[in-house]
Amino acid sequence: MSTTGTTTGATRDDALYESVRETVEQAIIDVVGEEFYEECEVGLDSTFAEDIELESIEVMEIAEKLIDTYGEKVDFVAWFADMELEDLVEITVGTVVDFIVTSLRAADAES
Amino acid sequence: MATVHANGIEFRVNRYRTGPEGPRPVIVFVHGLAVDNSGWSFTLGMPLATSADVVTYALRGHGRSQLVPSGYRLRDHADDLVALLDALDITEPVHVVGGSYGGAIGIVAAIAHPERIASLFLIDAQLPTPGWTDLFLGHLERIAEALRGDYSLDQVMQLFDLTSRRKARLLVERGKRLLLATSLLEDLRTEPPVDPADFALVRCPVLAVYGERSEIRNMADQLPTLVPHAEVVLTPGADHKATFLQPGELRTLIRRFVGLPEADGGGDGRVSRPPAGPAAAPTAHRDGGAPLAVTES
Repeated sequence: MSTTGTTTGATRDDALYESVRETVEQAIIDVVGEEFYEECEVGLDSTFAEDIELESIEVMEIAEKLIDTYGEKVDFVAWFADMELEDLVEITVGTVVDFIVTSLRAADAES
Repeated sequence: MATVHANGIEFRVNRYRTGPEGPRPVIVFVHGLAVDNSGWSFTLGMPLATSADVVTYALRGHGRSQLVPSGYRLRDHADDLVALLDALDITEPVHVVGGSYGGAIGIVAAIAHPERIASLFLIDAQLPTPGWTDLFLGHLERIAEALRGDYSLDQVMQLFDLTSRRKARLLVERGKRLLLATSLLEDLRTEPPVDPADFALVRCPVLAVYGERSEIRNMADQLPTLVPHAEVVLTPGADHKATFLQPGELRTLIRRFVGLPEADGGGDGRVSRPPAGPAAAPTAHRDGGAPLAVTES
């Protein structure tokens, strides 16, 4: 597993990270199906738009599953609000996992 | 996403709000034909949710909303919109952002339910004037014809300039559901234009953005003759589709029109255009993935 490329300070070698990664992967599988997921060889560096060939409605469904899972601790709306079109196209599985992990750690630090 | 029952139909609705507490204006997005609400949920909805209460939903038969066999006239969609507001317990007048065909829905809603619409922000909007369906109906008819034929996925990919077999399959499934299994095409064929006198019933503020090279550019000229107080902004160089591909500029215009604070998100901060100025040329060439963007109507 790659340990480089984090942009938000998340560490990729602990239980929280693994848990979030599994949750994100499962959310993708729920939307596209196991077979296609395997076919795409989805990894942390896979982009939603190009590599997994997701349509925007599918990205929205995945985001909603993650919002349901993590609630107010992870402000996806504020995160997406800060992005331009080209940023959205470049979102990878890893950047989503990093964002969630960073948000959860920040929320825990505050509480 | 919530499923909301309104006007006898299950609608999939997204509501976005982040940032400070307190009352805010409500902005409701109404998308066009054969697309859904997801693309601009990301590009416009969420960014504006830093200072507005944002509602996006999929029209009947579209996206993840219920596919119903009939009722695809503008008044049906306008009544859906108001029923949704009732179901969401939104009683204050809302600011409607209507794109393409969704703009025509907004106009009809403002005529039929003026007390519910605070303003209309139209993005390359269809105007229900005589002959208004000619351009996009012909396009949809050709797609329907292709869907009736036994095209291979490879042919569909070629026809719609797609590189993904999966997306081609989804497009065929969705296209067949909407265009072949509902009255949508027939409703479009028989939908009468709105009487010019009824356009005058639009009392709320109206701002319309049209692409300078839009296929429906003539409607930018028609609008002020029908709704004299409407303001029109032209987007240099943009065709119909490209007008939607400039979310930063559209957000800036929406913020000013609705009266929201200037950009408080990073994305909008990149816009340096003077107030009410025409938007810049497109900076990106994706539409956030709306799969049927080729039929944005």
